[in-house]
This record gives sequence, C-alpha cells and structure tokens, in this order.
Amino acid sequence: MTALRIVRYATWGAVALVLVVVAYLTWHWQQAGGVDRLAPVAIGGPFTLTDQHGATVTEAALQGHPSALFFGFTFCPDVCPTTLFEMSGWLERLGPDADRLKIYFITVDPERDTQEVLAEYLSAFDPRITGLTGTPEAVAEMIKGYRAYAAKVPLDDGGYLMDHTASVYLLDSEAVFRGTISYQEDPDTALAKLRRLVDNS
Amino acid sequence: MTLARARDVCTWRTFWPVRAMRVAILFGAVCAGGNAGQMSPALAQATVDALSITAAWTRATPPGARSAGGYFTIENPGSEADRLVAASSPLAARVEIHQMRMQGGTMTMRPAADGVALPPRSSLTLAPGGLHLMLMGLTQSLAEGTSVPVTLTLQNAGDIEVRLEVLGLGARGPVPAGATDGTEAGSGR
Repeated sequence: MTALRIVRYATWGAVALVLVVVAYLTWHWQQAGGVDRLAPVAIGGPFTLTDQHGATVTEAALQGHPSALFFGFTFCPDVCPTTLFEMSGWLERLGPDADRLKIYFITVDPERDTQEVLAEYLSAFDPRITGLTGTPEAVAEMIKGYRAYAAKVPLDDGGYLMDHTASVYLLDSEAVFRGTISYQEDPDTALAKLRRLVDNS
Repeated sequence: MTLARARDVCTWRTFWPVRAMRVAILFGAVCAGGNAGQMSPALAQATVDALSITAAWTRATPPGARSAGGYFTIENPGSEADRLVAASSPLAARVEIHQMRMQGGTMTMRPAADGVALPPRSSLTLAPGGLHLMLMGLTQSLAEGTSVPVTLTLQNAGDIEVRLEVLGLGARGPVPAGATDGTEAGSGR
C-alpha cells in the first residue's frame, strides 16, 4: 500500500510540474509577441558572397524589396534547372511587379560552382536571377543562417552529389522570412504566393 | 544454313514428301522471314527479349551544365524477370541509375547500386522526382530538338540502344505518344 501511495503522489507531482512548466512557457511566449513572427527562431542573418558578375553581395541587398532565395548547384540534373526555369516563368507572369522582386540562386557547392560557372549556367535563365557563390565558409554560414540543408554525397568515381533543401524561401522587404514555395508546387499556387509577397511588401 | 539454301528448299525442288515435311517444319519460320526480307532480324529479337522502351526523353541543358537526367518507360511483357543494371552514352563520361527522393523539402539522390528490377509482365517509368538515368560528365550541351544515344544494359536481354529526345529546359514530361515516335528495342538506331 505504501509503495502505491508513493507512486500516486509522485505521479500527481509530475503532473503538477508539467502544468507549471506549460503555464510558464505560455506566459513567456505571450511576452515574446505570440504569432506575430512566423517562426520563433530567426531565419536569415549576415552574409558576404559574390554574384555571378563578380560584385560583392551582403545581407543589405535583401532590404527594401521582396526576395526569393533558392539553394542549389549546377551539377544538379533535375530540381535546380527546373526550379530556375519555373522562377523565370514567375518573373514573366508577374509582369511589372517582377521589377520589385529579386531572385537569388545560392550555390551549396562553391567548390565547383565558381563565379564563371554560375555566369555561364545562369545565362540560360532570366537575367534578373542573381547567382551567389563565395568561399566554402561564407556559403556554409549563409546556409546555416537560413536553416537550409546541404550535404555532400560521394560517388564511386570520386565525384559527389549534394543533398539540399529544394524549397524556395520567400522574404519580405525587411528580409523577414515569410514562407516557402515547394519543389513542383502547383504553378498557380506559387504565383499567388509571390503576388501576395510582392503586394504586402 | 544460309538464306539462299532455305529459299532453295522452299521452292520445292526436292519433291520428296518426307524430306519436304521435315523441311517445312524446320524452316517454316525462316521462309516467312526470308520472303518478308527485313523481318528476319526483328523476329529473332522478339523470341529472345521482348522488352520495349518508349517515350525516352531528356532536357536541354544550361550552358556549362555537366549533368542531365534521362527518362523513359520500359516494358517487360515476357514471363522472365529482368534487371536494368547499367547504362552508357557517348555523350557522357558516365551514366548511372539514380533514385531521387524528396524528404520534407530536402532533395536527395542515391545510386541504385543493384540496378532496377523489371518483373515479368510489368512496365517501369523513369521520371523526374523518382528513378532516372544520371548522365554525368557531359561532353557537350544538350540542345532541344536533338537526341542522345544511350545503351541500356539488361541482365538477361543484354544491350539495348535507345535515343533520348531532348526536350525544353523546363520540360516536365515526355511528348505524348503519336506526336513523336518512341524508340523500340532492336531497332538499333
């Protein structure tokens, strides 16, 4: 009997503890502003990279206009060229609003994707798409800041592929993360998301 | 036994019933083949491997791109299982078979180490977002409107030549049947 009583008290104690913790976290969350911001963790951060024309680009470039960011690499046979193609299509369909939206293609493979490689590769797509590369450290920092995922996958012949986040990040004119467009998302849905982003920024 | 000899027999110059009957049974198929001319090689092909490849396509590559995906539908109407184990192309240093997966927004690609199984009476489609040929180390850009020769190696059927039609940069799928002719096994083009 005694043992059972101990167990019962201990369990009630645990329940009480959980309630106290939840109450505290809720209060803390309310203090932090509730659902005003999409994510409680910051997405973004400072970066220093080079575009395909050789100009230095930092996080300041994201201020003052909506942006769409895509992390990929030129050795990618499917997701990357098709997403870039879709993005070119979005720019066309947005019409004059497209001038306000800036699109960035950030390489997750800076060792192979140099400035020259990016310049050549992106010449097949809308010239308003800017490619960004840099030192492996600088690129890694940007990937980390945007909570994106990129990892090398070695192949038998010594080459490698990259696993990477395939979604497009949408940022408003204050460079605040506002959502994503998934790979192979319905084109009309994607366009609607972009219009909303441009209209609200 | 040469074709001339077979034709010889078929004209019934040797008119003995027993020999004629034996000959008819043995060379019936060859006669039909000989008379039809070109059909002979295809007939031989059909009895060995009945696999067919259709809707073979790829996309035009951006300048400087060193890899491309290859897609097609392969049908195994026979009663024997087979396996696609390797591929090669004169336009690529290396061709592998890869499986792409989207895992919660992250794209991953892995080589299919043991190839791809083709069960009896089944059809398999390699398409964007899933299984595909990975052409690596392209020796040239792929231009829309051209085609890429690829040799597929099957465990039982051996080598099959196909040509991947090069579609546009953002193509999502093959041209519907009828608009362009798919490549059949054994045609050797």
